[in-house]
Amino acid sequence: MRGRSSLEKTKMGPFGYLLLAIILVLVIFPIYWLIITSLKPKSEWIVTPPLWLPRSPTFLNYLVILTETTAGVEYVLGSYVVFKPAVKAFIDSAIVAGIGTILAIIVGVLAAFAVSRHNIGGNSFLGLVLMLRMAPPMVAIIPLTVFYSLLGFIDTYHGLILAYATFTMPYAVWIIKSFIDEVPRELEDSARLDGLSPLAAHFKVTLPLIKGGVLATALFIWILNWSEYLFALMLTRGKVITLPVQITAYQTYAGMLYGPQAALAILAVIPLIIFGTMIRRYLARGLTFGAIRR
Amino acid sequence: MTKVMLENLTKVYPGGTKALDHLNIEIESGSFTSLLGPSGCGKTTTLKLIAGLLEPTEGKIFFDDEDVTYLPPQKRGVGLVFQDYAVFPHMTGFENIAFGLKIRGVDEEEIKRRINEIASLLEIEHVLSKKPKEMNISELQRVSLARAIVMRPRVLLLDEPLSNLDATLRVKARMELKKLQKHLKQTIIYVTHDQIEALTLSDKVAVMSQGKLMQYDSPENIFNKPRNKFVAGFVGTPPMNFIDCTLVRRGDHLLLDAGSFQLDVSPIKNAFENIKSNELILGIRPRDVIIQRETINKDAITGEILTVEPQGMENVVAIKIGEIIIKAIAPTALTIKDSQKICFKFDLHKIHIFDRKSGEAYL
Amino acid sequence: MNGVISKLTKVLNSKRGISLVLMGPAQFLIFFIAIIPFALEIYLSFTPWSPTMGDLFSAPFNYGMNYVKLLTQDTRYLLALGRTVLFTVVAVTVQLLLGILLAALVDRDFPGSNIVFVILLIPMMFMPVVVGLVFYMIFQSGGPLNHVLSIILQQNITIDWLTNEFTLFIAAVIADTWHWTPFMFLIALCGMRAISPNIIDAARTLGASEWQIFRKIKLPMIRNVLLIAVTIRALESTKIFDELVMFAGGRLNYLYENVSIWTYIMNAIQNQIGYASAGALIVLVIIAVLTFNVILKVLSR
Repeated sequence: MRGRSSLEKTKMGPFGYLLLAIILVLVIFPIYWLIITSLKPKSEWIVTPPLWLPRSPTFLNYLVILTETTAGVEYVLGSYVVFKPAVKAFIDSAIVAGIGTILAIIVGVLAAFAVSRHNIGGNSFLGLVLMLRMAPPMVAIIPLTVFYSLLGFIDTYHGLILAYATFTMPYAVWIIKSFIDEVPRELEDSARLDGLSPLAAHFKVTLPLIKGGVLATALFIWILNWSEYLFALMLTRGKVITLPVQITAYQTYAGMLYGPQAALAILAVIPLIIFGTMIRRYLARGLTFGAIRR
Repeated sequence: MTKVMLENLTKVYPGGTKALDHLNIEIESGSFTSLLGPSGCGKTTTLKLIAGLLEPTEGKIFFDDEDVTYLPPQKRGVGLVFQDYAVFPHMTGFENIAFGLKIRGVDEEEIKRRINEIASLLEIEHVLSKKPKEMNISELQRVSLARAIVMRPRVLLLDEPLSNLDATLRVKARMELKKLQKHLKQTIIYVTHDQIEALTLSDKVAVMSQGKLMQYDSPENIFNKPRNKFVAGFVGTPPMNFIDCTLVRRGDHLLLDAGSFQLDVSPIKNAFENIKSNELILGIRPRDVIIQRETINKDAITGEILTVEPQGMENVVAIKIGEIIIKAIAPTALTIKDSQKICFKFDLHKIHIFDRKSGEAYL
Repeated sequence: MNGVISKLTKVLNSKRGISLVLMGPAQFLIFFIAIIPFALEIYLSFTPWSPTMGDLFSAPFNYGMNYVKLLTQDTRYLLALGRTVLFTVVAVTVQLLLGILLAALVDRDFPGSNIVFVILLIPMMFMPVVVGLVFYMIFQSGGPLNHVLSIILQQNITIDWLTNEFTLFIAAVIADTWHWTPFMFLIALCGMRAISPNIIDAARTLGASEWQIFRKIKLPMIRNVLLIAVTIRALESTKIFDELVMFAGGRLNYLYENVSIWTYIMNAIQNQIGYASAGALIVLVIIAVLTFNVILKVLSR
């Protein structure tokens, strides 16, 4: 990778290794704790002193949240209404995050071409779109809730999808614009000379060249949508349940069911880590709206 | 004023690339030495090893009598000027030049004094308060140079410092550099791929190829007495002609048979006494191919003109003899045209003979 | 058919057509999901409306009384603002320092540096809700943190971190730091790796030790990049919400009430929608002004 000082960099001293080890432990610990909690049976959840390794590890927690099993479950509270939605939460999250992302990307790509190649809207559009993301979501959610109830969009898939698409579209525009800027205009210009219309030049010449970047942006936005809580909380009432809402619902209504909670949390987070690691080369660019590129 | 000795210096990179192969050079104190060669020959690697930015796989480096092979760059007292100048962008010209002095703990007054001295020497007083982004390329180069020189380094290392300058600036800078060196009596090691630079500026030139030292000699000897085919072909514009030939004895005469023609080398046959092989390469610089008007005597060889390239005061002519094509220099006074038949001679005192297999020069 | 397609292509590719096709969808979304609601919010902020008051559009005009009350009398709101500022300042500072430290540590030659790099990035990929959940469990009075502290300090530590405001604040800072330091680390590292190796080498030949190079060359050269990262992180941290909800557990007792929690309580629980709108808009204005100032400062350099 670029940037290695003269091919031979500073060496890591013993103090450095020690510090690094401490930091790695601190970073990994919460993940570790989450994993072992998800494998603990109920008797081991609240124990003083806490157990650092489950004495009798079990997959029961996972089973409980994903199926309607009652066998061996000592802690059924009320009806299974509490547990069934876990699968539904996955499905709903997948639908909302998936379609929301696709929508955000399509709209974002189009707008990015407009700003980058045609200078339509220019800096004021970019700035507006940035403010969408920078403003506290509270500012948006209060009237949106009211507005949606007037439109009948509360607790609907399309309602949430539109909201997600609108508020992650700024990322799509800025980041994809940064990719388009890196493709020389001359390529489109020469295609234009060959008879291609401007729109065709965009989609047939430039777009294929940035498809890696677009994909990475899509995964990035998908991660944001999958993790989003506030909008989902305020705009849904139970017909649509996304994972973050479900996880907090366990907290509120089912008391402290550490095991299933941890199990659900892990399942919810696994795709995030997989995708996040896949796009790690683009994370810096993504999180800074395209300002910082490796 | 330091003597630098490189002993069996070898550098192999983790991937397996051998950048340097047992380099042995002794550089005299106060001299201007060039490392000359094509890209990838190992000259920049050598420079970085001398500076301490790389560690050798084998071999040693000595400054005077001190073994500095594993001494970190911070402690070696070398000055290094990079090809891209590497001027610190967030500091002014003054701060850049003062950087090393401040690290060393030199007091403020002395720093100011030294910087003013070097700034007037290099004519960069006006740039001291500017930031690099406000400087032009020539100023950047001089700031980079000043920053290294002001430290009074034991050895000054320059990595193609003039290659980013345009032609006019380059010639001017070359002369100023030479003047500077004489003035400072500084040991300078200069890396370049430009042979004109190397030959005009240096006291001695080390020609390198693929990590190996090809020849280490004065510029005159590099040009007139190349020790192998590589050096002969690398130095000199237009490059030397190489003709495969066989050494043949015909009665009293010693001939070089090139297929399309034979060259009688009997007048210099003493020089051929030590030659071990008969498979040879004849080398002759274009300037030493003497073009004749008509066949004066049977020494002359006949060929056909292929191309004529005007080069101002003279022309570079490509001549075809059978399958062989050689280049020669002809004065513009001699009007020549394509496809014309031409006669020429080789100046026998200027020919070079190389062993076809090893490339070593016999003559 | 062909004639229709080519005519359509021509129209779409005209100046207006391009504008429509490329910008249209974005403008549509923004207009309906952002601008109209925003206008609605401004309207609401000037009324004391609550759903119990009946029709939205016949709510009485308030003459900005909401704003006056919020800024001068509502200590609860002002405290919430204060907590938000405090949290942001503390959290971002800690994350910046840690991030730079980590970058300096990782930007070296050691075996497994690639794996270490990936591991260090993972917390950033976690869902905020899950971050809240994990640290909720860790900060329990009988939880692992107290356990470790008890061992180290040789005392029985049973702090219930999440039941008093001060320790809750610390817990939130720790959780946010675990979550987002990787971001600062990533940006700082990118910045440092973008520095030309020749510059570092030049500094070495001039006698600078690695530490001096770090302080005098690397840090100053990544200043602008760090500024961007700090601005973005600061803006995001003012909105912290999910973790605080998780920390409140089932009790719905939001002890560390920052601006987001305040707005949530006002809006969703007390249904004081008009009042909450005013509160949210004040925050927006403050943020806009600050961001504008920072951008001006950056541009003038």
